Amino acid sequence: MTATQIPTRRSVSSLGDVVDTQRERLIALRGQMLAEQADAASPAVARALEMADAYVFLALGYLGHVDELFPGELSDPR
Amino acid sequence: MTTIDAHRLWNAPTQTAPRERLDALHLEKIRHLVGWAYEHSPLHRRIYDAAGVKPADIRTWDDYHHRLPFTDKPDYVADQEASADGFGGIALGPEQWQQYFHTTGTTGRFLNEAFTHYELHKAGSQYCYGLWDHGIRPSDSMYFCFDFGMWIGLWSFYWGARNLGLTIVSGGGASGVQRVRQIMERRPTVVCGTPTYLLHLAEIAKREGLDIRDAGVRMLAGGGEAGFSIPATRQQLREAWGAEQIYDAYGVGEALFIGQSCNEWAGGVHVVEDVCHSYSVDPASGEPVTSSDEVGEHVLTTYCHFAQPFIKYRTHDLVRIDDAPDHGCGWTWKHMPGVVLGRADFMVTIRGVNVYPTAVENLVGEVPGLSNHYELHISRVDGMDRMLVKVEAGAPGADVADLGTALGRHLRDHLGVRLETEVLDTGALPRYELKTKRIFDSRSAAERPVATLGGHP
Ligand SMILES: [Zn+2]
Repeated sequence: MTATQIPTRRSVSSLGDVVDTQRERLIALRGQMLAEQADAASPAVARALEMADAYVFLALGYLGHVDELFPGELSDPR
Repeated sequence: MTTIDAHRLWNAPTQTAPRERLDALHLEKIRHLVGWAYEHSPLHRRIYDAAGVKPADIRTWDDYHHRLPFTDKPDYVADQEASADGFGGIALGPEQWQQYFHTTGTTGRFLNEAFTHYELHKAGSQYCYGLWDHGIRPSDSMYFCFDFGMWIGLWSFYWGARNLGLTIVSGGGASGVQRVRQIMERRPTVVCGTPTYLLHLAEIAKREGLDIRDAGVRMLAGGGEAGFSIPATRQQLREAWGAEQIYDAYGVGEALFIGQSCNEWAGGVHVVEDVCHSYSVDPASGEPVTSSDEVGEHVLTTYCHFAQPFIKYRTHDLVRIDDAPDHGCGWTWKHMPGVVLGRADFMVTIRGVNVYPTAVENLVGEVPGLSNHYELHISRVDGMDRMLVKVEAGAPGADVADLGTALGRHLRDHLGVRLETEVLDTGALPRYELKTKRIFDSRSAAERPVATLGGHP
């Protein structure tokens, strides 16, 4: 979301190495999933990936992810 | 700190994190959320502009406590009434919503609520921390006693059960007798309902010549009333159902706050700090309460609701918050002993003594010979608050005059003031299926305790 006036930082949310590295891996996984969603062969595939993203985002929340509030926040059209 | 097997907890990374780390995460999320609300919710922009606050001004806890305005239900209701679509405080449009709800309206008008798919799932995740701690696993099952209406409390419990992976059995649309039979047949691990309704079901079973204890239900869970935190009611439920575990959850529907009891219970619920930030304030001054012994008004920011943000939201619930609980469960999350001690709006001052309805409810449960059916009637006569406690006797034919005297004495001994009491025959008070109405406050708005925290129009 470009309009937010708050800069985001990652360091403060450190919950230990094991947790932080899993969070980083899931962020990367999510990036791949979102790319697939954008290139989906049908609305069915796009929607399935969108729902999968909500679940991955739940996992990120458990790991102390603070860069986004919810899935789709950064792609908000407004 | 107690040594805890990490996999005994639903999410040890945050559930056992030190206070400084948790607070750093909270501040980060709150700052982000304030920015989101300012940019996307016209209501929040108006409130923040009126207070002369920009999101970038909220950098520290002091900023959050002292610069950021409180929000309150009337703000949302007014915005709802002025809006074309009938919703207040909206930051994401209807194309993103998955489900509507409204508050149960016990304090006046309904507040319409809109949730996305992710928000319902995130809200449901709150239950997993407590249920997991009580040994509930995906192989278990949960029976829901109710018709699934517009009340978020039930639906969020359903999403919690889905999130954990439980087998769900819906008792929607069934009569009490049918529910008893379904429970006997399905033998769920957990039965979800209000305390009053669960006791009512046990009575129905008895009338049908059945013993609900034969269903082997391990846990009774739910909320919506104080009963799950009242020792006498917990004991009654345990006996009536033969259940090992009584599970308490405290919710603030619109803000999607759910406090959960840990397996140690310890007389209260933990704040689920993965999904919200909680603190308490003096309802008169708005100053943060810093002592865990002091009662304050619970103020909440939720990380489950972005389509309709609730930030520094006044719940009007009176709580005590222990931010360093140590009762052996391993959670570092804040704990609220006694759960909700009362409503700031229902606070009663009798001859200078603050009387919390929950304290009265606890005391009623301690008098032998009384039932768990009671009502508190608050009124103002000649400028003085009064409270009449009506309770049903526990068995037909009891000496209600004697019981009334015993009740009056017990209340006076523990509260330091005399309340009016009236003991009624069994069955004299109405029964409710959803939230039982127990507190009747006939004082006008002007006669209730003044608790305006200012800061916005
Ligand atoms: Zn605990």
